[in-house]
Amino acid sequence: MLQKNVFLKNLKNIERLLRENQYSKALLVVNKLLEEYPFSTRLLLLKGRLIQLLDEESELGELQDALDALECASELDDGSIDALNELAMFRHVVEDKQDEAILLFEKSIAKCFELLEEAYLGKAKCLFETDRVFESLNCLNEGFQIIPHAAKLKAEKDYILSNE
Amino acid sequence: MERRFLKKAEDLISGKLKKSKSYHSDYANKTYQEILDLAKIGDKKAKQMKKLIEQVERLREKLRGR
Repeated sequence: MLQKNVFLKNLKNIERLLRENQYSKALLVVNKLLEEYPFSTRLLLLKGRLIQLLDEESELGELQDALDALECASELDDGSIDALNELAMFRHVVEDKQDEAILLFEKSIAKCFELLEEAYLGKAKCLFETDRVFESLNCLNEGFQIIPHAAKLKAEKDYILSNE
Repeated sequence: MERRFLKKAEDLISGKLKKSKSYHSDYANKTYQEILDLAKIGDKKAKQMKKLIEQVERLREKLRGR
């Protein structure tokens, strides 16, 4: 297993190569790291994206390998919006499978709402705990505008109002 | 007009994505602008080629930002 600093150094190297549009070289590093960390969602996503940008004759991977990597990333990290979106885009663009893409995008949107609700709720609780009641309610109301049926936000708002 | 709109589709779509079922080699020599115009009037092949061009742009942007 690589040490954390070596892993991070490799990631920095990948980032540099990506900035320089050196996709084949970046993929070589990604593949090398995947030998050590085969279940890294971040690396699998990079692999799935990079393969799509390779030259036709490149032997570093085919579209099926890109799909396998994206599916693996999505399975490993069920909550990853990034992985869901990337897999959905692959279905939509590369495979032209719109119904499958729609299901994935719907899952991604639901996850986004879940995370947003959690963030609004957390922020509202912090504000309320520090006696910023008005701001806390504003925060919850802002959340409602985006997620009208957010049950946890509603419960928190009721709780705050019952305390006032 | 932006230079990329004058480029041929085959120059805007990466090699591997040319193996996708959305790629149509008979549209390879059309410019991006021609593809956009055809897509606008509902040409299915043009719509698919447009998606591939946009996918390359999106992926490059995404990878640069990471």
